[in-house]
Amino acid sequence: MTGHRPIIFSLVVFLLLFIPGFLTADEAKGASAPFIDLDGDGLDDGAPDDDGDGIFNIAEGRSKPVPGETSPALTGLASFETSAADFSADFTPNSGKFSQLNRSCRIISTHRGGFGSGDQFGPGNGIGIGAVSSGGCAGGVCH
Amino acid sequence: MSKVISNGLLAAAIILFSASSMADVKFEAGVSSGYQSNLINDNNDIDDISTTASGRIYLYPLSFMEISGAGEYTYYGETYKISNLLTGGEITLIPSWKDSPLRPYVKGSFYGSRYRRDFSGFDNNSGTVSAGLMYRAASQLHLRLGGKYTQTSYIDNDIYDQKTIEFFMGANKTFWKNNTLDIEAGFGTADYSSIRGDLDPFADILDGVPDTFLVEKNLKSWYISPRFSRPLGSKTGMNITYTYRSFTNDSAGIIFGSSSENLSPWSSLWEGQSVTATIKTMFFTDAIVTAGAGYFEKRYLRTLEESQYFIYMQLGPPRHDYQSRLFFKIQRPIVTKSGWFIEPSLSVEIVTNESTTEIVRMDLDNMPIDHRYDYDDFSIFWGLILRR
Repeated sequence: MTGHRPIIFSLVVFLLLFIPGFLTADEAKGASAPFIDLDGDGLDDGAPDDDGDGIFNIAEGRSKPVPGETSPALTGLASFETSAADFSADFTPNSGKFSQLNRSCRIISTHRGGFGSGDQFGPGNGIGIGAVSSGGCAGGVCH
Repeated sequence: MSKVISNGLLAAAIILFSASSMADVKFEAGVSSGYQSNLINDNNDIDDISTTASGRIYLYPLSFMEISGAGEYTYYGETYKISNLLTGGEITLIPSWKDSPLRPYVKGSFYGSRYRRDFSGFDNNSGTVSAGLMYRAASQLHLRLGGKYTQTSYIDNDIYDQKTIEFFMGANKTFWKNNTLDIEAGFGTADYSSIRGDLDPFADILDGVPDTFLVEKNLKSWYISPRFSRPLGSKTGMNITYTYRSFTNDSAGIIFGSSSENLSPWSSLWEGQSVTATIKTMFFTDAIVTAGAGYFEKRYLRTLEESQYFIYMQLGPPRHDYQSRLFFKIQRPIVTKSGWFIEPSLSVEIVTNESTTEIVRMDLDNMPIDHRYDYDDFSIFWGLILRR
């Protein structure tokens, strides 16, 4: 009986997906690049986030960049159209350029089925080495 | 311990010295604290409050290079003996070329864990080198492959030592505007010390497992994991992920302690399947809310357990667990005009675990020992990140 639980669980989630209200999923307004979701959160990796707080402009009701807060490094998360060479003439610091590159590489910096990867699911707290290094558990104790 | 601290201080000094000549330096500090109702994840239901403080400094000498050094200390209230210090560093290279559809990724890291004296047997050093390559085959089709080598060495107890090599490949395709299917498969091998099946746990283990009872073995594992994700409106996204992982040659392997105070490197190694679903929303203008549910079927290797209270060998079939997990997390990111990033967060997780394993044996004083892995766990943690 317990062997059927994953199947039942999957069916329930898929049914939720096709509730009519969910079928009206919008595309990220104002995004010129095609929708890409490499990190699997269901959201457009290239959605603009001018202040770099992780909340997209559209969710903050912001359609134009905030003066003085524009951060090219934190937009176009998965864009291959931009690269380090593109910034050779601007004043974006190395950290900003690297941040953009790193975000587009999140999918190859981790893999979800390796040894010890079972504890990657969960809230985490985003704090500490255990949260950011491979393995997911600091000292064997996983929060 | 002092050697690790001195190495950490030396690394910090080098980075700080470099920072004085290269202005592009970032740092991050974090603190979290919370309550966990079942720290060891068994029927003992040992609860505790823990607090973690961490710091990391980043250096960017080139636009495609990041160097960082970090330290983290976790303090436990009642079970303070497992309090530990983790120090280490990483270097990441992501070279890129204009208009190239290829993006390589190389990363090396080294970390050392140190525990208080009673648990110093778990002190270890771990080094990892990983490399990957992503290829944009079309505007909404990305292919990737990569590998990772990890070596973990335990300073006073080489019975836990591991060397693992893992490879993976995957494809990510978006279809029907914004529906994304990501499929990943991989293969890994692990060198480890297996315990001979004829070891008498009561007669032979009291002073540690003799080397003559150890056999070098190699564990092979493969997995496949499809993931479907899509937005639910412009501010919310979700995914459902299935993973199936299987050992191919584990029949004779016996490992030392999968639950030993939850510090064993084997505590997270299992084969089986899992289904998880996560939803992430920015519906509340100033916050990110994430919630998830998961179901796991886990089969572990045969295990010889030893701890302060238990000495036994599990000679029956491998431990088989059924686990359900729910979590909820809310983050409130704040970016100040002066450039500080501040993020308080609160997370809650509930775990229910059912296991086929129930061991009742007599201890050295002829008292019955009942050790099971049927347990529930509730945890609530708050955190604060400061980044500049």
